[in-house]
Order: sequence, then C-alpha cells, then structure tokens
Amino acid sequence: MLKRIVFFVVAVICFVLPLSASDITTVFNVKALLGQYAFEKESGSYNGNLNIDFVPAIKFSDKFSLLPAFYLGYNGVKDVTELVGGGTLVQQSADYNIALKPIINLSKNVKLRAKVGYMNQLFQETTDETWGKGLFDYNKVTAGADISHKNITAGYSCYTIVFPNYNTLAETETKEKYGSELSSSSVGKKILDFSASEISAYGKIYPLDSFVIDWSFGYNLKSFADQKVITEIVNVYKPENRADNSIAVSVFPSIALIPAGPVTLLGGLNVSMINYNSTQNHYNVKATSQDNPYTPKYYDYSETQIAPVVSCSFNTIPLKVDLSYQMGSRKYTERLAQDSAGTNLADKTKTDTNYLSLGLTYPLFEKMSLKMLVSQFNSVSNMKYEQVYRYNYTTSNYFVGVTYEY
Amino acid sequence: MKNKLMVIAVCLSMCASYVFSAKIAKVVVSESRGKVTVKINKSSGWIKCYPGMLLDENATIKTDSRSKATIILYDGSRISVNPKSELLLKTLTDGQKVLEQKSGKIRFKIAKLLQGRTFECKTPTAVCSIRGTDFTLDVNDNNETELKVFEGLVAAAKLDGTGGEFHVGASQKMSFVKDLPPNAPTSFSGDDNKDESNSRKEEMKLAVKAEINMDLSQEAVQQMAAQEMKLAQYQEGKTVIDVFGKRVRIEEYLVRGDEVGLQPNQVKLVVVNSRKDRFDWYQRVATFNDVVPADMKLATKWMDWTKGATLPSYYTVANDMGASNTVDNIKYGNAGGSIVAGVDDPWQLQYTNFYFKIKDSTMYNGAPLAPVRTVYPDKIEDVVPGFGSGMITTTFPDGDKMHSKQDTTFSGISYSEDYYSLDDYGKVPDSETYLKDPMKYNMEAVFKYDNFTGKDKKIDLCVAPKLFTSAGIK
Repeated sequence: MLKRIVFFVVAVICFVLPLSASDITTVFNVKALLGQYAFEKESGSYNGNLNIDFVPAIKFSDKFSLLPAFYLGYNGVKDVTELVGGGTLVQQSADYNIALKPIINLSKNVKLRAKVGYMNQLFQETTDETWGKGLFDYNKVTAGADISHKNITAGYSCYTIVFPNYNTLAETETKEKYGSELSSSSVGKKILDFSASEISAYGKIYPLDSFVIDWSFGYNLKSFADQKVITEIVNVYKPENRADNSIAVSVFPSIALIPAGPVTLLGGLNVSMINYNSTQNHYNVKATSQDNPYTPKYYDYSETQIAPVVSCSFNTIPLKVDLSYQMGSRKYTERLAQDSAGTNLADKTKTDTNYLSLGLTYPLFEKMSLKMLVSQFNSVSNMKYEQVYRYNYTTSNYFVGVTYEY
Repeated sequence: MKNKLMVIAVCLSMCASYVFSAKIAKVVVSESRGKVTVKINKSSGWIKCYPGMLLDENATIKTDSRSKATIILYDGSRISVNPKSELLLKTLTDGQKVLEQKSGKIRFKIAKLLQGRTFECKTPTAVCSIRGTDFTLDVNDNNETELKVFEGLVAAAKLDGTGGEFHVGASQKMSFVKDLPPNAPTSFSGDDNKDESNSRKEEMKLAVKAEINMDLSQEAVQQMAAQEMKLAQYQEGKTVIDVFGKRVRIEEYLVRGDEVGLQPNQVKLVVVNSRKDRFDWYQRVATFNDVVPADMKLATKWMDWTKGATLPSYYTVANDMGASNTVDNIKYGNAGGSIVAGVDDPWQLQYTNFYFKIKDSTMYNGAPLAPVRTVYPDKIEDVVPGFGSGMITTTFPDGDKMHSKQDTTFSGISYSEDYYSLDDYGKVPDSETYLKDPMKYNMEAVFKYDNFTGKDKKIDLCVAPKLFTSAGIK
C-alpha cells in the first residue's frame, strides 16, 4: 500500500507539477557493462550489469526545486566485495529506487533538502530461487532532511528495512511440521527487520590550492522490533529487543599534480573507521560440547580501511586510468576465532581484506565513454572454521562496457 | 597488515617527492564538446581537449564552430568557452590572475576574490577587472568587445587606457571598439537572457549530478546495513546450498525441560532443514548420568566425550537420535552407558546396547555393532551379523568425488545412506581437493528406503560433519 502511495505521489509530481515549473533539467545516466566473476578457481558465466539514473529536476524558482529520482539497477555479475562466503556464485540482483527531493535555497550559500524514498532490492541466489522470492529480498523506506552551508552539510534520516520473505523457521515451518517438541519461546519471527536513525555530517576543506580534504561523520542507531536478546541460559531471553549503534568517520585528502611529462596525477588517501556495537549475544549450538558456546556482544566489531587512490590522465590522449587499492581490517571484540574443527581459540576473530581495482575510461562520442574495469579482492582471517562460511578466499571480476551521460 | 602499511608509507613518500618537484594543477576541463583543442604552453602544438584534462599557466584553449568547453579554476571560478572562441590562461597565481580572450564569446563566473588579489580579463580592445562576478565577453572578428554583466560589478576600460574606467553592474552591457571612445553602460535584454537561461540550465545539471552522487552514496551506506544482516545469516550457517544447487535453511535449537517432554538429566539438540519444497529434521536426546545443572554447558561440554585421561563429571548414559521428513523417520541410539578403564586412555565410555528403527519398526536391538571390514578396490564390505542382511556395502558412485553410499537390506527392502562432502557452492570435491583441507567442507546425508512414502522417498539433511561424527553415525 505504501509503495502504491509513493508511486502515485511521484507520478503526480512528475506529470502535473512541471506544468507550473519555470524550468526542467533532465539528467539521464546509463552504465552497461559485460563481465565475469570468479571465486578461487571457479568462474561464473558471462553476464551483464546495467544501471540507469533518471532525474527530471523541476525548478520552480531560484529558491525552490524538486528532484524526483528513479534509479534502476541490474547486476548479473557479482561484485568482488559482495558477500561470498555463503557460496552464491550465480547471484543476480536487481533493484529499483524512487525518491523525491525538494531543495530550498534559503540564501546564496545555504540549502535545505528533504527526501523521501522507497527502494526494493531483489536477489536470485540459487537455482530454485525465482525473482521476487529471494530469501534476502528487502524493501527500504527512507525519509530525511539535511542543511548545507557552503561546503558543510549536516543531516538526519530514518529508514526501515523489511525482509518480506524471511521468517525464522522456529516461528513458522518448524512448529507446523516438527510439532511441539520445541520450546514455545523463541528468538522472534521477523528477526532481520529493523528501523534506523542516522545523523550525518560531511564536507570539504581546501587548505591549499588543488588540495582538497573530504570528510564525513555518521552515527547510526538500529532497533529490531522482533528480535529478542539471547542470554547464556538456553531458551531464556531478555525482555528488551536487540538494539545496535555504530559510528563511522572518514577523511579523504586528495591533490592534483602535473609532474614533468604528459601525465597528470590526482592522488588521494581515504581513511575510514567504523565502530559497531550490538546488544545481541550468541549461543553456538554446534559448539554445545565446548567450554564456551555462549558469546556476549557477538556482533560488536571495529573496522579500519585505508585506501590510496591514484587517477591518471594523459594530456596527449583522452585516456583516464583509475587505480585504487584498499586495505581493510575488521576485528570482532568478543567473537572467538575457531580452528578448522570448530574449536574455539583464544584470539578474537579478525579478518583482513585487500581490494585492488584498475579502471580505464576512454571517450567514444560526446557523452559516451568506453569503460573497462578489473578488480580483485582477497580475504584472510584467523577464523579457520569454514564449513558453513568462507573467510579465506580470493575473488576477481572484470567488466567491459559503455557509459552514457545526458 | 604492518608490511602493507610500510609499503603504503613508501608509496606516499614517493608521491611526496612528486609533490615537491611537481606543479600543482590549477585548471581542469570539466566539459568539452565538439572540436576543442588546447596548447599546454606557448611553444607546444594544438592537441585535442577532453574532460578531465588539467591545464596550467600559459595554456590556451580554442573551440571550433559548434564546439564548447567549460573550465574550472582551482579557486572555483567557472569559465564557459562558446563556439569559435580562444582563451589564453596567461597568469594563474594566488595574487594575480590574468586571462586573455583572443576571440569569440566566453562566459565568466568568477569566485569572490580575497582582499589584495586581482583578476583581469583582457581582449584585443578592453581590459576588465573583476571582483567576483558573472559576465560574458564577446570579441568579434573586428576585435570589437562587448561586455555583459549578469551579476556583480566589473571595472572595465579600453586596453589602450583611453576613455577612462567604467563600472558595469548587473544587467548592464558595454562595448569597446578600437579607435573609438567607449559609451556608458546600458541595460540589456532579449536574446541575452537566452544565454543566461542556457548557462543556468548547465549549472542546474551539474547541481543535479552532485545531488545524485550524494543520494547514491547515502543509499550505499544504508544498503550495507542490509548486507550485514545477510552476512550474519551466512556466517552462522543458517543458509547453505545443497548438492542439488538448492538453498537449504538450517536452524539449530538446544532445548530442555518437561515442557518438551525431557527429564531433568536430558537435553535435546534439534536441527531443521527447510527447502523450497521439503522439510527435514534431525534430533538428538542426550541422557546424562546426573541432573543437568542450570548452567547447562557444565554438562553439555561432555556430550561427545568417549575417552580421555580426565574422569568427566557428566557423561551420556544414553543417546537417542532421529531423522525425519515429517512423514518417514529413522531412529537409532545407544544405552547402558558407563565409564570403564580404557585400553589406550585411562577412561572410556562404553554402551551396552544399540538400536536401529525405520518408520518406528525395530530393525536391530542388541549389542553395539562391531563390523568386520574387507576393503576392495571399488567397495568396502562390513559384515554385521544380525543387522539387516548382515552386510553393509559402501561404494563410491561418483568415482573420485567425495560421495559415498552405504547399502543394506531389511527383510529384502533396500535401505541406503548417501554422504556427500560439499563446498560452499554445493559442489562435491574430488578426493585430492578434499584432502588438502577436509575441514572446509560441509556434509549432506540422504537416507533412502524403498518403503518410505514421504517426498522423494528420502530424508535429506545438510549438517556439520561434527554433528554426525559425534553422534557415532559416521
């Protein structure tokens, strides 16, 4: 019902309001790529990715504009950084996103923006999964506002994510088919669904000519309406539901240089840190026969990412080369690493990742460019129990395609 | 991690050496349509211009007919070069900027200048000093210059200094003709607004693209939050892919209490498998030698103990296992558990009874099985007197792949158990690959009996191998 209301409102806005607008500016971007994904020595079949952005911006006056936005995406080729440990070589995903964004220019340097949006992401991960029936399909409804003054923006948004096809087995099939042999209490039914509130700020600083520092800060609070908190005592749950919070900060200084010769470099270093906390604990039934199957604050982690970025343009040929390398390290604060047999070790689980990407862009015609992209991702962890999820692996993919920007 | 940080530090040092030896780029070409060429410096030749190109002092940019370019200075000033125009970036320092327009029509949107800094635009007939304004300069084939100011104030004068200086304000224009004194500024309208409209449209487009980038960045962060929920499900083994390429959802429960029909010295482990078109479960009821304490793990940590140097506080006196597809079932277990002096270890746990049932009919109930094994090149035969036909035959239907099958009969009716080792993609490895790292593989067990009446006449379970190993099945 909500989806229909949002569609109706956006349709009215797109077709009725322009009649009273002073100007309409349309941005239309298309990115179409063909590629292949590989996990260790296994390759998926060739497939394509398609992304379309369509924004018919409506300007009513110098002070007020409205941006209805439509974003469509189809990914037939898995990204190297996407979840891989679950073994979904053939994953396809599709998403659509509609949003409405009024922008008010309060003064020359101050802008106020609001936003409402709806997104639906679909997955097809196995041979028996059809579009619309993916276990991890989800919907997202977003609303928010932000205000910007020159180069600084601060905002608040809230969103709800619902996984319509996911219910815990305990509350559905198991009770129907297994019977009453399970205890009547359970951890909840729609345990993946959550609501979040987010405060964010970001901006740019220009300390020197051609030297820019992009920075951002975000604080996020999540609440789970139907996920109870596990305790150390089996089948006993805390009265309150799970709640998570996270803080993320990033800094990205970059500089453009013309060294001697025909090459121009744009270099930067992106440093980001995330600290994630959750009230949820974990009881590992597989580790029942071990000393400590219970782990408090199971989802807490801190993560650091460092990414040097270099972009080259050649002043004699219109070729642009983008090279980026990202190192990441995620350390769980309480989750113990395990050996290959699943026995808990003394160390906490830590996963180091490396991501290397090389992209080439060459203009073919006006507004159309040829793009090539090769990426590799590597994960190394002290978690050696990999019977249900892989922590140590290498993935790669490559793409060739075109982009069009109107 | 430390080695990689060292490598990055070295790379940064090398980049720093570039910083000290290299010049900082001052101008970037943000748009280039049609035939646009540039000269990097006064002595170089004309080369094709393209978006993203970086320019410096003494660079010249030229547009052909039906061509257009936009350049952005490092202070944020934006310059739109219309068709048949030529612009020299003569001086680009912090304190002074001088641009020379040789021909054509160029729109300047100059960022507000700090005190003490100057910005001049020169044409063959005029010189304009700017304080942060929006204006165009149009130089025709006779080198006549027309200045139009859309915003702010421009101090304009003839290049030869004659006629004095004029202040041209917003919505005013002024012309400079060689050998003639300049007239006072006048207002403009008409097709000039069309230029303004096109220019604003371009600005709006850039602003919209910036909004799109902001939206997509925010969306990516929120999508990551959804991804984390999915990640947790996979990491906890709650969804895997079976040997048939289908998704299997797995949930495991540990229960106790009389609410579920258990005695104080019992706990039950339940594993359920749910697929799109079937539901199977496995359970194990462990009966301990004593009441299980409130802190259950004090007892459950001994659940799989069979022998060792330490005498356990708790041990299982009986285990009752079962698997079902909700219609058919198999049940098996042991009883009479006690601790005795071991052969290889000081203590060991031994049972006095083993039973096996299919669809609640007892197929075996007696002493624990002690098979006599004969290994052949293509099969293994275990002689088990009193158990079914008395013989369990193990074969390897897929050759070198990690798939074994055990067959026997009960009163002439075939019963089999297939065991597959699976990787994350539901694929069965060959033995060489498997032996490199056996612990990377999950297990799928398929129980078939000709008299089963449930779906596909089988019970199909994806479980961690440890579960079956500790239960003594395999």
